[in-house]
Order: sequence, then C-alpha cells, then structure tokens
Amino acid sequence: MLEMKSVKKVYRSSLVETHALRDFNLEVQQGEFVAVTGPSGSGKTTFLNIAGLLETFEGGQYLLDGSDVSKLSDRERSQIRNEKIGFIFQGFNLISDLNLFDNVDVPLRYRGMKASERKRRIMESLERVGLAARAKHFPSQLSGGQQQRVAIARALAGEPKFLLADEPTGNLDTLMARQVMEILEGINREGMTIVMVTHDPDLARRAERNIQIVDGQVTDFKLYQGIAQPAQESAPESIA
Amino acid sequence: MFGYYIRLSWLSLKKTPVLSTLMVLAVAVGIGSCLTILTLYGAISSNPMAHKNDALAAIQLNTWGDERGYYENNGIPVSLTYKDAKALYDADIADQLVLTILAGLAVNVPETDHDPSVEESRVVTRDFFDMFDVPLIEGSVWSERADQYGEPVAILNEALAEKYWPDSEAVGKSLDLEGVGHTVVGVVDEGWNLTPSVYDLYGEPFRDAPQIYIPFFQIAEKPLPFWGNSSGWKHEDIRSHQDHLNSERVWIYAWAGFSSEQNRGEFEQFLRGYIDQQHEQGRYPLSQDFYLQSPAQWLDIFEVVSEDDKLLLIMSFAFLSVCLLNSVVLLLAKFSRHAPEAGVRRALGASKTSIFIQHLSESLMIALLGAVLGLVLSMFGLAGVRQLYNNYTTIASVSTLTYVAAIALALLAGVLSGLLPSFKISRTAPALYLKAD
Repeated sequence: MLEMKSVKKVYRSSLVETHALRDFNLEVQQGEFVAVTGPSGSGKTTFLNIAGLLETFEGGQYLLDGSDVSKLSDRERSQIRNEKIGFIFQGFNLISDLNLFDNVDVPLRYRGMKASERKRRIMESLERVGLAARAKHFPSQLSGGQQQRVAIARALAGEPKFLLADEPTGNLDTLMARQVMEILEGINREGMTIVMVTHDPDLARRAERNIQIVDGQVTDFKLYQGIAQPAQESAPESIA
Repeated sequence: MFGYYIRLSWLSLKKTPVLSTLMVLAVAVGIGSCLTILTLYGAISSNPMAHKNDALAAIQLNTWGDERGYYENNGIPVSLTYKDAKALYDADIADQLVLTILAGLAVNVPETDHDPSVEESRVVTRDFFDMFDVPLIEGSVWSERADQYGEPVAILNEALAEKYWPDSEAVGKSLDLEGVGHTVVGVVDEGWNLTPSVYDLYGEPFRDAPQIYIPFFQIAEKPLPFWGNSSGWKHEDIRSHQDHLNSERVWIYAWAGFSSEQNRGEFEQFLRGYIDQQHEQGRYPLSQDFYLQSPAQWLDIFEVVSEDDKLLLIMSFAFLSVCLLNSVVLLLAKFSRHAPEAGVRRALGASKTSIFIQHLSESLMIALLGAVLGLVLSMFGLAGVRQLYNNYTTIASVSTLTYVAAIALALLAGVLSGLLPSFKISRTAPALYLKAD
C-alpha cells in the first residue's frame, strides 16, 4: 500500500541544514494498522507529510498503492490526496463556518462528484460515526470527541485507500479518546489501512505494528497484535 | 464547482461584515467615479453617425482670403458662404445635400392659450431628415418644391406639437413663425437627438434637439434670427439681407451624402471645376482646396473630446487604481486569516488552482457588489452633473455603456484586487496544519 525506499528530506535555511529524514525505508501492507512513534523532532511529522503527499522529498522513492508518486505535479498530488488518502488531524481541523454535512462534503467537492452521490456518502459517513442526526450542526456546537468523529467521517467519505492520523486523540480526554480509537479499530477491521502518529505508548500498543522514528530513520518496530518480535537494534530498517 | 466557490465566498463575506463592507465601499467609490466619467466620456466621444461615416461628408471650401488662415478648427472655414451653398444645392450632384443653420424662431399659435415663445429651430434642406436618420412619427418631409422655394411649411418636435395640439394630430395645423403662417407637415419623434449634434458642432455640441425645422431657402427671401456663427475675412459693406447673402461671410454648414464612390467622385470633380471657375472670378484668392470630412473627422476638427476630458478619464482610472490598492491590502489581511482553512482544503484534495479560484471568486464577488453600489453612486454623480451643467442633460445619464462598463470594471477590479491575495493564499503550505511534533 505504502512503500518508501531510501527517502531523504532536508530543510535548508541560510544558516543550517536539517536532515529530517535520512535513508528512510518503510513498507505498510494493505489493511495494516501501524502506529508511528518517536520523540519530538524525530521526523514523524515529516514522514506523515511526505506519506500524505503534503511535502516533496529530495531522494529515494515513494510508491503509493503500487504507483510511484515521487515526482508528481501539484495537481496530481492533490488528486491522489483527494482520492486515496484520508486525513485525521490532532486539532480536528473542521471548518468552523460549515455545518457537519458541508465539512464532510469538502473532499468530495474536489472530486467533481454528483450531488446525489455526495449526499449519500456524507450521510453514510456521519451515520457510521453516530452523528447523522447532527448533520446541520456546526463544529462549535460539538464536543472535542464529536468533532474528531466528524473528522473521521470526512476522511472516510472519500473512500480512501488508507488513513493518516496525526495524534487523533491528542486533544481528547480519556473517554473520548477511547471512543475515537474504537472507531479507528473498527474501520481497520473492515480492511482500511491506517497509519497513526502518536506520542501515547498505550495507543501505539493498540496498533498491529509500532514503528519508531529517531533522527529521521526507522529504528525499531514491534508487532503487538501478532507474535511479538524483538526490537531490532540496527537502523535504518526496511520493514516488510 | 463555481457555485460552490460563490457560496464559500458569501459565507466568508458574512463572517467579516465590517471588513467586507469596507472593501465593497472602496471598490464602489472607485467604480462609481469611474463610471460617471466614463459615461460622460463615452457620450462625448461617440460618433452617432458612425454607421454612415463613409457615406457622409461635411464640406469645407477654402474661401478664406486672409493669409493667417481661418482662426479656428483646422484653419479652413467650417461653414460656407450662401453663394457657395446655393451653388452646391443647385448643381444637384451629390445624392444628398444638406444646408443648415441654427435660428431662434418666434412661435405663435393664436388659436391656443399659449403665449408666443422663441424656439431653437433648424433651417434645413429636406435631405437633413434622411441623412441624419430623423424619425417622423406624423406626416412626412416637405416636398422638393417646398425645399427649392422655401415654402412656409414646418416640421415640429413631438414635444412642441403636443404642447399646442395635445388632443389631435399637428400635421395640417398652422402656426406663425416670425409672423409668417406655416403649415405643419410632419412631427419628429421626441426621443430623437443626435449627441453630439454632428450636423452643427459650433458652440455647444450637446444641445437639445431642435423644436422646429423649416426649409432652408426661406432665408433667400428674408432674414431669420440667426443663432449661429458668421465669420468674414475682409471688410464688406453689408447693408441688407441680400448683401449678406452675396457676401464672403461663412455661416452655413453643408453636408453631402453619397450612395456610391462614383457619386463622391462626381461631386469632387464638380467642386474642383466650380472652385476653379470661382477663382477665375476673383474668389478663393489663396487656395483652391476643398475637404470632405467624415463625421468622425468632423468631431475631431471641432475637438468635441478635449484634452481635459481625456485627462479627467485618466484621473478617474487612477482614482479607481487607488481604491483597488486599498482593496488589495484589505484582501491580503482578510485572506491571511484563511490560511488554516486553505491548508486543510489543500490536505483534503484542493489543488493550488482550486484555492486560487475560490479566493478570486470572493474578490470578484466583492467587486461585483462594489460595482452595483458604484452604479448607484454613478447615477447620483450623473444627476449632479445634470444639475450643474444644463447642456449635459442629454449625455449625463445612465446608458448601455454605463452598464457594460460596470460589468467590465467589476471583472477588472475583482481580478486586479484579488490576484495577489488569491495567489498568496493558494501557495499555503498544507503541512503547517498537520503538526504532530
């Protein structure tokens, strides 16, 4: 589903060069639930941005759903983001002026879909997260947990190939976090590939696979929901 | 998709009502002032005879004997002597020939209660009506015989006919003009007015339409109260009307109409022969040139559009530019607050182009609202011009040009003011809104 080979990302300023990712190798299979952890500044965000085609990179290759997406135009990257990737953000990032229906509608609008099809998908997605009855409410009228559920509905409405979740429970209390995780786990059980960045080891443990990034490289991985494997010392690591 | 952008634009405008109002006002003031000036300029600079520009010609004959040349316009007399005018008419070479002067005729209709009045009148040959597309709503143009002999017939403007005979047709009725009984043979549609009045641009090219038309050759018998300009280049002992008619004074505007190039050629050939003959008789002492000026050339010669008018137009666009600059600054401020939303939209699949068009739509919507308000402001502006200048009554009014210009300026303002802010917001890096670290 997602394969990065020797990906390199450098941020340059007039004074300093920062190697955010160095010889970064990773493969995520279809249907996997992968948690990405690591200390602040390790490169998690850069990985997520590149995986989500929000940033370009200097070296290496990135295959998404079997296609090389390393050197695409902005329009092509936008189209792939729209059709194949669902985003869930820590801060929900709902658009405050739009009601829930219209928020979920946003990615579908950029796909040029018919109104009837959009409406069907929006209502199904909101139904799935238990908020169909509140379709006309605005984000400010919802709790944090509900807002994140709307964000999940928005990500799912486009029927993407995989979800990229960035600290999806970071702004939620324990109860709401659990609800959101249960939804994500349910989606994963239905076959959706999920890559989740988190600081929380407990959340990471609920994923099938845990990848740790340190200094821009994959340094460790653990399989929690299968047979546990010993942590590998060597880095960089290509994970199959 | 465009409907979606319009909806988003409207939501965005509603979200910041004060800022949006300021931007709409900035655009409205700029467009309003520009529309006012543009409407006036459009009316001033238009050629109402453009459709006959190649078929009509004002006749200039260089009878001037003063070496300093004619003192106005293009240095050649813009009007003819009576002798030359009569000769051109009698030759009957051109398909149409119009001779015309402006007169103030005293009007009296004894059987009505109206007091006698003096009305702006045009003394013309009958081709005037066809040549300048004057629409008659009653009756017809006087006969060729009436034209040749200056018979006492008249064509009235609809307003004047309504004044005297509100309940019946004016055709066939009688009225006294300068004490002479005239029979009304036709009525001109009140809506007709050539602006600028190409046929006679002397003094005021934006005058109201004439109220009365009478045959030109009435002046062959007796003088009429002449309201035009009469110029001479030498001292002449003029003691009678006949002396005036036989003098070298120029005071009659003449137009020729041609249905073919051949006819124009024949007329030019006639003019050459006629001027040579006159020269041999001692006239045309300095030059035997003649000129046939198209309506467009005639408007240029009379400088209907002055340099001041052009400068005013440039100033109005400069003012609009300042207003748009204000709008650009306000839009930059407004759109900078949209950056997070633009980032999210980019992450969800919007291309840079989509974000650009979305925000340009908002700018266009502001400009469109500004244009509507600007149109209202320009109506007030034009009303003000009408109040200040009586002679601008006919041109200081909203025209098709005003509406077309309003749409064009709205698009121009929308694109110009929105280009930079929309471009900047479309370059928003979406990654900024996916922070995990």
